[in-house]
Amino acid sequence: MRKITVSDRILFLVTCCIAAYKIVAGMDQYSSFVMGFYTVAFGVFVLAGLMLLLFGFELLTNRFFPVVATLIPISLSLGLVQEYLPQMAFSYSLFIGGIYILSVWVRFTADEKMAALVLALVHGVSGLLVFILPVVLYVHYGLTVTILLVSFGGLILSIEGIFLTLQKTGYLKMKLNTIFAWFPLILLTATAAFVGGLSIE
Amino acid sequence: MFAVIKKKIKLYRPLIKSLQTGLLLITGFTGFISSSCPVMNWRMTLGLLGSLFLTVSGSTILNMVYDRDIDSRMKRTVHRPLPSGQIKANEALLLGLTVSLLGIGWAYLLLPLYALVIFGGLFIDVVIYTIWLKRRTAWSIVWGGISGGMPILAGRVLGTGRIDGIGLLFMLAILLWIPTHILTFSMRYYEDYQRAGVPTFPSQYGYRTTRIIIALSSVAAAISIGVGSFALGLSWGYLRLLSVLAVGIIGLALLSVYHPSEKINFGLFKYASLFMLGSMVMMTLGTL
Repeated sequence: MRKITVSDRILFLVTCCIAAYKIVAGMDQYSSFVMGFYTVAFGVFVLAGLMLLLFGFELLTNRFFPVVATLIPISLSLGLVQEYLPQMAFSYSLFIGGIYILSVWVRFTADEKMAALVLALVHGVSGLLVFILPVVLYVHYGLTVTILLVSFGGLILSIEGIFLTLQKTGYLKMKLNTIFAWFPLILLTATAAFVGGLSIE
Repeated sequence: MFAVIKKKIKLYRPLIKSLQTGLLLITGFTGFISSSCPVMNWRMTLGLLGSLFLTVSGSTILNMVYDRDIDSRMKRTVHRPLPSGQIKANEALLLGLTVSLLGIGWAYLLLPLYALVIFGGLFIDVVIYTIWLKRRTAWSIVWGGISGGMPILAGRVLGTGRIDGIGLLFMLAILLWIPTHILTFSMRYYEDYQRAGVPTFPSQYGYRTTRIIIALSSVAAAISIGVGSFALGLSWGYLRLLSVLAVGIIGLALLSVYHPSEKINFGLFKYASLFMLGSMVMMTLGTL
């Protein structure tokens, strides 16, 4: 297992600071619901950064880590839908919230494969929404180009997540330490991209 | 002459537990700033930091003098200057008393009530906690907690000129946070404390009860800090971030109850310090 280095720690700390800044000072323009969803998303970034600082990369191999990490795309997608597609917000919240609760329940009761399948569904749907919705908003609704940073953040975080999953299941021959070596930088870049992309008025 | 002083300072430095003293100074500074005192008021700010540093350092040195026999029996502390014989007990006692008196004297010149509060902290820490209770009961940590809460109250007193509800709430928050800090530590160094004959919660009530107490105190500390920050008028942004950090400490405390491990235990110990530091930074930034 790769040992956490000083530069890793610095990157995690900067990630925490950027996400914390967004929570403290970057949400005044949102409605209460949107604010709540984004607080959860960036809160997970803050806590993930701090926990990785304390526990190292071993945390990423914990079986409950994906359950918590899935809160990032879920809450980001819920915030985006609430903000830009409010007419769909209620039904989407019920749908994604329902599958997420199911995924947590399955994690404690069913076997690993079933749990991974349900989690992949909820992670995949919400992750795709985080990637596609900003593109649609930019192309069809004339939002500024910075909204695409949200898609970019979602994309790189998803790629890292897919690599990690494929490596764990044996479909990818890349060394786990190589994936971990890139993780701090990817986490920081994704966090900065989300903060930048969601900072437009 | 210069070389001798340099050598002495190098020798004395481990006597003051710089991390612990630093954290207490930050809490004192936060208490001061929380009363909307301008940080550019150099006389008061330097006075606060200087007098607190001297008093906290003095009480730490006096504790080390009294506890040198315990320290000599614990692996973790056996290399400290007193048990290892690098400094004589009388020399350290003289140093501790001088530094403490200088700190309290400086505090008195700033504000007598402030001096009284930090003297209270020193008295509770050295006399009640260390000399009277530490070797008799595991519950001594309550008094250790009260003395740990004195710097933030003292800072607040220096800023407002009186003891107020917010100051007491902050002190309560530190008092409730202390068990998370100390009990996780006493579980990690269980053998050391057993060897030294110091009663601790894990040795008197078992690991599971200790973990439950840690979880409860974490929740209570998070609530106290939250209520205190709300009463202080911190913006919703800071309160949101505080809630996020509180979720972390409560989550880790619950994890240590349901999935106990040494790694979780020590992680909680470190996170508790980060939580306190983060809360203090937020309160400072939020008030500035």
